[in-house]
Amino acid sequence: MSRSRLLATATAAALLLTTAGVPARAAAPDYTITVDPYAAGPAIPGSMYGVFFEDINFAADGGLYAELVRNRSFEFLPADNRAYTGLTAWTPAAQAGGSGTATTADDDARLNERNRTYLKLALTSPAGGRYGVTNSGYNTGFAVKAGAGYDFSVWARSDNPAGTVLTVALTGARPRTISVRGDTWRKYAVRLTATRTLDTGRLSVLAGGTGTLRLDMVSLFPRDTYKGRPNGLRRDLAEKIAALHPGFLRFPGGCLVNTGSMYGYDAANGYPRARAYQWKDTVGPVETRATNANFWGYNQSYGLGYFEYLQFAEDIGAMPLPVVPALVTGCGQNRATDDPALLQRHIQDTLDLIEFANGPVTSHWGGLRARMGHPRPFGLTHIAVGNEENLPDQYFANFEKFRAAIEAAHPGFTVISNSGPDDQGATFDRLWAQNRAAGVDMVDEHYYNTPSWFLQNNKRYDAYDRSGPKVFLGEYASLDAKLSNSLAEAAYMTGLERNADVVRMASYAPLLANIDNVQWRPDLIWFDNDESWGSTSYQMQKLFMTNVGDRVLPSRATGRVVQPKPITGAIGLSTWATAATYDDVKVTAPDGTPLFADDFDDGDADGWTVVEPRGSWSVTNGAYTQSDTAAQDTLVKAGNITATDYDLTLKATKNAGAEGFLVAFGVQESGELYWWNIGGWNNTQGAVQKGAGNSKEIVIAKPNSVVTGKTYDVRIEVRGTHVRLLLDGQEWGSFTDDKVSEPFAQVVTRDDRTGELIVKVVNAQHTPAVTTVDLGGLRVAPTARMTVITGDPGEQNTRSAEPVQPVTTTVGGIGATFTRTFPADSATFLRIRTR
Amino acid sequence: MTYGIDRRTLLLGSLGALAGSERPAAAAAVAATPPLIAQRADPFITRPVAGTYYFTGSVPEYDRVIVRGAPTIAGLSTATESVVWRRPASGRMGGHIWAPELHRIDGRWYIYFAAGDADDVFRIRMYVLESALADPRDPAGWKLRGQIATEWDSFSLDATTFAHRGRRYLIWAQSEPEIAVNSSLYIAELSNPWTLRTKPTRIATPTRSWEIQGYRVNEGPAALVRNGRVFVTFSASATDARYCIGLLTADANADLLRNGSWVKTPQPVFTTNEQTSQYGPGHNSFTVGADGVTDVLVYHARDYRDITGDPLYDPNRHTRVQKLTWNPDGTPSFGVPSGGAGPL
Repeated sequence: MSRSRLLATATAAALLLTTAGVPARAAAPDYTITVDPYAAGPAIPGSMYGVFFEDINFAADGGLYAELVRNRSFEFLPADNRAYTGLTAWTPAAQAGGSGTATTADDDARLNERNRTYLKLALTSPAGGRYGVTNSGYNTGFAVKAGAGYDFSVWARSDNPAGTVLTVALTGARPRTISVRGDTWRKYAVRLTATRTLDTGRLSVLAGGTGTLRLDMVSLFPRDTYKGRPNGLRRDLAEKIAALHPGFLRFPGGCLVNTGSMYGYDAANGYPRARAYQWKDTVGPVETRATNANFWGYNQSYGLGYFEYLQFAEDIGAMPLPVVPALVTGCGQNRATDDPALLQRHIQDTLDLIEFANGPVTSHWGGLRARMGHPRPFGLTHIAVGNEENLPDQYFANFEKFRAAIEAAHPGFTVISNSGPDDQGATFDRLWAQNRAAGVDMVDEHYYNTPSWFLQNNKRYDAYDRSGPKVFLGEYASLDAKLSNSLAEAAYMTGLERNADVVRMASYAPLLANIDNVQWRPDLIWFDNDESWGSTSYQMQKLFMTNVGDRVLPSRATGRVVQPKPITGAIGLSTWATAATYDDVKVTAPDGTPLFADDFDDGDADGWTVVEPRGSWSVTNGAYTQSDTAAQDTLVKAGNITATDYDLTLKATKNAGAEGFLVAFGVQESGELYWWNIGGWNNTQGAVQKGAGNSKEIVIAKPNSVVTGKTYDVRIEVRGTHVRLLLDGQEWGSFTDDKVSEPFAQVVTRDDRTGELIVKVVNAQHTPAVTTVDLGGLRVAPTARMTVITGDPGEQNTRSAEPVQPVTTTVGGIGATFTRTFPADSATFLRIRTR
Repeated sequence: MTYGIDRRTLLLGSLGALAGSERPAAAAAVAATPPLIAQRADPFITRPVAGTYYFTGSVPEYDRVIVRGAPTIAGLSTATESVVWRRPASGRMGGHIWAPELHRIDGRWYIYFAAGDADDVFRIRMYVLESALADPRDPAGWKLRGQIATEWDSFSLDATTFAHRGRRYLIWAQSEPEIAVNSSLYIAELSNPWTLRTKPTRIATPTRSWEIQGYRVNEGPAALVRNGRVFVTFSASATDARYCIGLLTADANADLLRNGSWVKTPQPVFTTNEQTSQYGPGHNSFTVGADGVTDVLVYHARDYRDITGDPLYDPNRHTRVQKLTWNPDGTPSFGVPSGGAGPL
């Protein structure tokens, strides 16, 4: 590949030149793509691209699960979220002089042993009066559509010998009544029909008369669920997922699989919350399912459970891929549960899961599947054990026990392992070594990195061992939601496809986010209570997922790439929930020439600029102190180091707070920087991070902490693209950031059914790319169907506008060799018919 | 991983430092040209109504809404200023009072303004005052109609309204939870002067380098329908010398509630000019000259680049006016900020 240097200044100037469609025939091409149509590249499996559903960001309750009542079973507790009570989302209500009290009760009158809390209404209404509760739903309330039907149901018992009349009122629908008779639990149901369309509705359940009325499982479902399934899924969200044509559905997590207690929801364990996701909690009648605290800070009802997941996978034509806990936690918890009997129980649970999915209706768990409405097997073939564990040895030992048991019972079953939470590092290396040595079928990799990482690592899988474990890229995204992020992902995906013999499956993550309950971003599909919309990456994933092809045709590209630049720019100081003092800040050339110095003995911080206006900085006692222990990222910067070789030295003292120091270098005007995070992650880990704002990837990391009151000598030696870090004179780490960035990427596949070539070109830079495509003499039609995603690289798709959309046209000028100009900041798919 | 960045958060640090102290002294102003009105920012001048131009704008104390009136634009310079509304001592609207605009709709006057809360001066939301009196300077007529409710509750400001082809629109600036910028621009149709009929459509987000200097801001929209197009100017970046005006354009026949109907001019149209010593021109409105035809650009700018302390508390954003001319292709030509009060 010939490489000509693309100057940084040229990139900035090119922002003006984003107009596409300039005829390019006369110009020398910037790039050439040469296809070998007769060579056999790797076959691309149907499972190449899929989706990863994790119950994060209210993805299940308040999201994909169509239930409209929040906290329908009164099970919410402070253990789920400090703000929760049994009456979260409910408020007592009275009408026409009604009176009473509404409390939740956890006593022997409960609906069943696994549905422990219910609503107890002590009614004291005079004749005609009504008293009860109102539910506020999710987001701004209940979203109802004029003409649509809604199924209300409730479990109830009344100790009033005359019975109790319940009035069920949904905003925008005619109220209905239910007569509750008898003091034993019974399910009552009624249909409501909306006469208005609104998204601010409330559901009231009000009882007349006197006595004690007990209610549980107060439910309201739209009739219009995805494919009309009972206990079903919200249609617009399910359809957006289905439109991706996912090859697989990984579920249910994520960190909620490998965090919390591995014990059961039972009396022996005190009905604990914060348990790892255990599939048996989530099947059978919904009123008998356990409840749990979700790792992401809320309650999960398990109304959306394993049956519903398997049914959904079948409905969208995706291979189901469950993830079960390996009894080793990750996601910051990092504990191994050493309980051989419990391990054996979980291994048996996993075997039982396979029986639930595939077993005959005469089997115990296959019978439950049949009773839930699906006598035919679901055809489960893959299972992942573990999510992203940080204790490689303990995890892998358990994984091997699961794998042995599953393979013994089900030869040919694929049991997927993983490589921890990052794209590299000690855990990654250790796990890959173990997986390779043990001959594991497939390894799940997870990484969330900056766009530049994706542009620098297109060739990542070119170097993977073709005979080693296959790769499941189960979670990845570039960190932000702009078109530029999606283009970096797209460029990277060409590398995934080119390596389809190694990378057998890939899924962007996370999939869903409720706009008012976000724990992680970016996300693929967003929603509130009545609308949903796809991010720019949703559009990009959809373009790739609906134009995969069956086989790669080997192709090469030549043209300009972006060479690494030396690390220059301002230096910076910051803190994260920590008060700290910095002093004697110096930047010196290797020959001793001072480039910057501030010892703060002049009593001021002149020359320092506030970058993130948070925290409280002041110069006292000849040193620079940040004294706010709550503020996160209080970055101030100074200087503009243009030298490529320099040493940054300073003294740092922690005064109070949760973490240590953040010392930045290579700080750009755009906000891009490197910082050495000393005593990060609650003073457990050190790292060099690179990026801007909240989008920082880890360059290197290892355990590290700092002591309050001790003064540390911090030294950062920058030599072009190589950096050496010293703490108190000892080398702490080093790294080289010298990867070439490839903003132009391509892959060519063949669609066997249509005979089309699919030429996929990503131009993730702010200049058009005049490109000559040589199809190796292949006879092709003169026109092609072209789909382009392009626009302002800083744009986002949000609830208020979705400016980034694919545009499909028919283009001419196609031949065995042709030249096209691919617009700045674009992804272009050409479907070319062969003759 | 959350953004949680809005202008309020960003400003908290500097606010804390200022609490209980005097506003910082501004650098000495060396005015190249006397402005139309000193120390009035975010200026708004109506078209003449019954022979009178009315003016309103932000005052440096951010504590009240003022209106001036005069038979000529030049006359606004010395016209008596009437305080038509003062912020309450506590509660809602007791915080910063920003960027009022005065609109005549169906025989009544409306003031659109942004206000923070007394205990959180940067919790800015949009509010509407109404007066049935003929003279908007008369404080007696003004009644609070309330807050303009938007689809989500967040930092929102700078509402402006215009009628086009039988529909009345509101355009405003607001932060949106998915977007890590301070404010984007939104449009919706109104069902009455203080109520949105439709869900908001985002028509501009700060993405380009000139829109994200200091803060990531699109704000201060102003609409002008001419030559078969709807032009919307807006201001971008921090309110220092980097503040500038950008331009959105839609076809007059287009559905203004579609994001795709709007095109952002890639470069700013009105920026700091060293020759005229005009720094950070922006937050404009449009009126017409005495002939009723000549378009007039109303904006604020400072006479100096360097500011001591937070630009928000430097009082010397002065109201300035100049002619707005038109290019042969029908697009507006803003020229450079001349900084004065005319000639018009």
